[in-house]
Amino acid sequence: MTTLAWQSITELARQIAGKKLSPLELVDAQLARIERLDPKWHAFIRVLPDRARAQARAAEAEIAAGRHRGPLHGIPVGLKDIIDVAGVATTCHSKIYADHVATSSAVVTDKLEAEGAVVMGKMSTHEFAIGGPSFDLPWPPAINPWGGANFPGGSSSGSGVALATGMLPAALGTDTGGSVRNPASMCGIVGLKPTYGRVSRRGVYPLAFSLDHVGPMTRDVADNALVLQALAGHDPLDPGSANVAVPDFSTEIGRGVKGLRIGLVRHFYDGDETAHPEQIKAVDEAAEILRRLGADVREIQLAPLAEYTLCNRVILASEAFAIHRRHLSERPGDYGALARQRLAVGAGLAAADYVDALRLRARLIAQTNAAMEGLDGLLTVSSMDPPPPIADAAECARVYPRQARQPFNVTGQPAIAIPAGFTPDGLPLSIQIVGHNWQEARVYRIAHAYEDATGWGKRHPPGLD
Amino acid sequence: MDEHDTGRVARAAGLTLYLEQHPTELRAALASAAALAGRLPRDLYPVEEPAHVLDLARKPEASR
Repeated sequence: MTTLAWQSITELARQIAGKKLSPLELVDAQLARIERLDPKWHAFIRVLPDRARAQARAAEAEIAAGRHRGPLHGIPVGLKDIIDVAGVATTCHSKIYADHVATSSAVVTDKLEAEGAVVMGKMSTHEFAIGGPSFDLPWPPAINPWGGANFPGGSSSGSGVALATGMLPAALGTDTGGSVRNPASMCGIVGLKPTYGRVSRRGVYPLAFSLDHVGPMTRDVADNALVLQALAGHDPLDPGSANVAVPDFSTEIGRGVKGLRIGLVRHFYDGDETAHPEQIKAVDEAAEILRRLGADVREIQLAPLAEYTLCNRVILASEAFAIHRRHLSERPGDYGALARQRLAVGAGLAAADYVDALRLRARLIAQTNAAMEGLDGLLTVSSMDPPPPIADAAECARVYPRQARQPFNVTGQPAIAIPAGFTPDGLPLSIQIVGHNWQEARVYRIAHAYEDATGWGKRHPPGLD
Repeated sequence: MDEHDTGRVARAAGLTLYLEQHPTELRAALASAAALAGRLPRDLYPVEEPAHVLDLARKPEASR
């Protein structure tokens, strides 16, 4: 039997429901693993052992009494440390908020706990979710176990690392310019940015209101759908939340891709940018695999990647500066250098620049929708490169912006990053699958078909039992 | 952007302490902003309106 650390939510839930595994036994095993591994990988800002054990005991008692809430009951989860848990500090990985204790929980925290999930702790991020890695903050950056000591991507870096090291089976991240999908790509796991408005952001520290999403991070596609099921739903107190029906996100998983039409956005990674040769090969091979599985994969043209990137950056910089203006004015020395510089970009943009970026956004959305007419989804790259050494600041800075995730923060469409093999040096590669708004189930269907055909996500970093 | 302009933007944005303590970072941030602004399209028609975030999402089409 696979060690508990590497089992999927689906496998763990089956054992918990059958009373073959107690939630307390599972939580204790994961806490022991965190205690052993986290001093090296720094996935956690704060572990919450007492709270987690109390929740696990409550889950155990409920299940023993015949009240099983569903597949997340008794399952350990981690929350990026910009997501509130009542009574616990939400530090945003920053000195600015080091002692900022949340008075109530985020909607997503409440929703996970309502399903019986056990919150194990708060995960490392880049400071205020903008850029990294940084070494001048109160906590060290998370380290990617693939390759020994590599950059895990970000900003939901601790969430990605906890999954890649087997410290957690699920975690939440947030994604404003790709911050769920980047660590998913770099850490060899699965990360979904849902449709804008699908998941409430209330109780999550904002980076840029009109681009922010909360998304699930897991080790396989089916697990990801289970977590999204718990998170999704209208929140009338989140101005960006949409009042749309929540379908069963797992319903299409296992139906295969025969007859589906998928657009391959090749110019993003071999034209607009030139990705690492192994990464180009991985996406091209994914297209071939999907074709062999019966999908009609055809190359399509979207607007140049640089237009989406520009649009995302101007909106993000403007909205983030509005949020951070007071702290940047009064306490600039309490930020790390990287966040301080990136958050100040908005000070140099004019109101008309922001409005023009919003107008460009409308144009890009219309163009993207037109290009996707008649298609079930898109296939493209997520990261252009495999993870660089975290100690190599210049290489991290070069690699960080080389990505094709921002287009779908601009358009709001659901997009998932999943493992797509390894370089000859054993570093993770990935692909990105994108759907129409509200069609996460179709995204999961395509992703699962590829995952099932390749099995890339079953590998774990060498040296971790 | 020269020192005078940097100081003017910093004062307008309330970043005088920032400028005193971290002048190089602020200059780099403002240079980045200028580069971004300079790349925004110049061919937007007057009738092209901003994307309203709440309307971004299309209704789902019929599923297969």
